Amino acid sequence: MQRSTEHDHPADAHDHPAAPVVDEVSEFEVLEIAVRELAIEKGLFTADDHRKFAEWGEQIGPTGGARLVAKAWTDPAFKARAIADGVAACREIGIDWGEPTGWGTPSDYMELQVLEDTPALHHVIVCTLCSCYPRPLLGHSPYWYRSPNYRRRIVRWPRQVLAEFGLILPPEVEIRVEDSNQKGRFMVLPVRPAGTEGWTEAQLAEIVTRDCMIGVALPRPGTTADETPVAKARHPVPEVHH
Amino acid sequence: MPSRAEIQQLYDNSAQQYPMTHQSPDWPYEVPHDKYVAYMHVPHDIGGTPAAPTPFEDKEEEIWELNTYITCEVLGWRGIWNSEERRRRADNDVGATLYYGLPYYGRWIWSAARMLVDKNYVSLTELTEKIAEVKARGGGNGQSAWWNPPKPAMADGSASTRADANTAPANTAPVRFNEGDRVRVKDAPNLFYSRTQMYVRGLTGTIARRIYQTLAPEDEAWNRDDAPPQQFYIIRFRQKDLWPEYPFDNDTLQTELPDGWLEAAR
Repeated sequence: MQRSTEHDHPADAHDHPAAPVVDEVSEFEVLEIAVRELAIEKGLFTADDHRKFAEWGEQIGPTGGARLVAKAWTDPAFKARAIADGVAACREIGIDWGEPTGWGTPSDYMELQVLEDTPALHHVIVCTLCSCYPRPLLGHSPYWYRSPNYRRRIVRWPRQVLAEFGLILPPEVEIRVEDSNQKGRFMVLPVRPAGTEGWTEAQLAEIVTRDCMIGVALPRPGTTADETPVAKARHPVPEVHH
Repeated sequence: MPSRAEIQQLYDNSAQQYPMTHQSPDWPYEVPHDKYVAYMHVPHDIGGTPAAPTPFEDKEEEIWELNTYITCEVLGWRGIWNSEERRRRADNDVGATLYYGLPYYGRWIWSAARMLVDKNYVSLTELTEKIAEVKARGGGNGQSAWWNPPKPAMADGSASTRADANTAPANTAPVRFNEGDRVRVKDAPNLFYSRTQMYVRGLTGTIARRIYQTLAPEDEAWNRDDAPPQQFYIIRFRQKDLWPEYPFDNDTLQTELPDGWLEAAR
């Protein structure tokens, strides 16, 4: 994987002044602007199309999936419906896979399978061919999920890779790798952990992180954020508030 | 039918076809069969090839990366390409050197540009002139606004829509298999593009779930909307059947394949 040296670290680590920022030209930013402008000039799409899609693409994230898991943990009938028809169950919690076009995004299709873990069965998701991922429900995939390293190894050495994420499972638990290689999209419904008895759906949703729904982590009381490090962008997408 | 060991050898050979600077820069008169198969290996199919452990990290998205995603998806929304074509172009047709050499979304936008030229929506001259113009006005220094399109030259709604793209075709395809049936994945030759992974070819698994009907990826990637849709299934394999050295008896792997890639296991 590409390594970045620009991780979060304490601001007092160095006392020399910051070097002046000299921006490298991003060839890809140039290319994207050129493609977008030509497409608009040629009438292939409109600026409004792009704006509408951007508004949708900015606000997706894993909280929808967390709400689905929390509701499935507290409502067995909903869990059964989610396993039978994931897209319909998403509608019940306010996530419409038809957005933003009316027929979904071009790349997410409208086929969601909710994979239920049990004490004897643990699922983990990958797309070995590219990076297929349930964007409407979990947002954009993390960088490591797209990386050749994860895609190469998780299908053949899943226990080693999971251990690198800090997840060690006993041999009697069946590990089932789901290689999401076509139009189906998948999310893991983890086992509700001990110590959450009597919790509300909102409390439960807080411990269901993105990594739990990919299957590289397990939900734990007290853990509300993924522990994988995050490299900084040079020009990050501004925070949006909806 | 090659043996598992032979398939594994081909697979491992394919993994060696990373940027080929070690090879004499001249053309051979012929290539032996195993090397031909390795060259034909579709570059995106990397599951199961060895790599050393690397720390897994996420990365914040750059503005240009999110814009690339949106531009590519809007091109799909308006019927200029479909996502199977996008996956073929960006993940596969770029060749191994660019596949490993460009950033993830760099391949996307490069492929979108190539598609517009290939389909005669934009000439290469127009594209290179536009790139020069964007650079000249300072685009690409990372300082451009999050949303700063020029006033659109047109907004007359003439762009086509593709409202049928994600609707399931009528369930007209034959359904040959049921849950629990044992099926063998065909070991068809690779050429240009496939989404049937090398690591399941020639192997037998069990139908876990019957899912949707749609075009085979090999057809949809070239917009062959006239091709017959196929029934897709989720197939479950024992890991020990996929990887002879696999040490855990109970572990399994599932993936989705169309009817045309399957035959009843004897």
